[in-house]
Amino acid sequence: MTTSIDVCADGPLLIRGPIEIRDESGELIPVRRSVVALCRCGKSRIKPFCDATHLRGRNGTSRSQASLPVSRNS
Amino acid sequence: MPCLLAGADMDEVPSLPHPRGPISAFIRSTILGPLQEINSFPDITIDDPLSDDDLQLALYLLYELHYRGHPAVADEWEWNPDLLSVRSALERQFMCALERTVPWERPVRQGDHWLASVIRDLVLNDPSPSLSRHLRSAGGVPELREYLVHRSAYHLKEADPYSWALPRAVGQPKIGLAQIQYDEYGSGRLEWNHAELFARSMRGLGLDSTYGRYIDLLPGRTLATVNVISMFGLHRKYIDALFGHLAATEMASPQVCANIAAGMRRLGVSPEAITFYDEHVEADAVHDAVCERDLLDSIGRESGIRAELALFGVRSMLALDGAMAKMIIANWRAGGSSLSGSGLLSEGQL
Repeated sequence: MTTSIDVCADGPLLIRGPIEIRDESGELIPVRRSVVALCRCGKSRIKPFCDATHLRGRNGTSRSQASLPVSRNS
Repeated sequence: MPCLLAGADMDEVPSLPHPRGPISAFIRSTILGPLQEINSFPDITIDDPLSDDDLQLALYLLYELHYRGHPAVADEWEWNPDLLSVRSALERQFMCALERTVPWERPVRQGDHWLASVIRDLVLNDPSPSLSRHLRSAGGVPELREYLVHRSAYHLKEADPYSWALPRAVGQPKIGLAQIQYDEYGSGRLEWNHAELFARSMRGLGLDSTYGRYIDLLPGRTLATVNVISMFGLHRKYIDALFGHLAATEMASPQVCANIAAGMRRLGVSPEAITFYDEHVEADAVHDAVCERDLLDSIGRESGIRAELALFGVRSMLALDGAMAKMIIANWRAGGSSLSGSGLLSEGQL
């Protein structure tokens, strides 16, 4: 089975299929599930895995709110 | 052909929950009796179906016939047409009340991932009180134990209500759901089955993890949070509401579970009890991403009412879980138990 990687919009890398992950020192990080989400925002507390922290933008606002364009009139 | 009475040992004392009013008393005595026609129905006009102990317990008893059944109740009741018509009448009350609380809305469709964005705004800006934040920073062990008792109505059969959608879904949503459910059920390993992990959490806090053990202690508002998923799951026409409910649950869960795990560590709870919550921080972040890619993006691309139904499912989850949280917090603030009767005190616990 080919391993596939979905790049989620403003979200993690969603990896389906067998993978091996090694940390900085080359140690294997146990991967127990058949689909994993890897952190792409750098804010996860369980890196390299995603913990959905990316959903919460600054000040606890949601991502879509945080990314609303600033009105030129304001 | 032998009579196939489930648990036909007549010496066994039936361990069905106690009735909370005329409807649950009627359902309980009916299914404990022999299979027969049902000729008389109790009056089922209820003021507030979403919080009504009697109606919600009756629905819970009826839905449970489609899961594991009840001790000393004949399995044939599951498809008894008279009983199904009673259930249907109860569901109409439940659904009408839900529609009054959660209005249908026509969403504005913008961008590729619009449905996930709309749901994210609803979930992250939910004004309901947060039980998990309270348990993270302030709640004590008695409150933590009560929280697990409330949640046991779902977590001891975790993922099961959403499995009803598997044979009903087609295309990418079916594939995504199957992937989520495989993960929920432990990816092929019983010890990682989420319902098993939750049972370990309960035992780690000195609670009885027997399936259905604490139903007598659960208020109608708590039972409603599980009944709604069973109702969406058992009716094919509500499949997108079920998907919306699932997506909202997975989206909210990593933060909720991180809060509970932090609260448990603050309180010095045994590591065995915390595994369930640590596991869900990672698992539900995966499920949230799968929901967005496979369920919400697919539904969002379609025209028609599918997305509206999904949003109805999201709002139903937020309304019912929020009402439960509000009730629990109010009881705790008043210095009392959030469970029915005298709660865990009546169990000789706490």
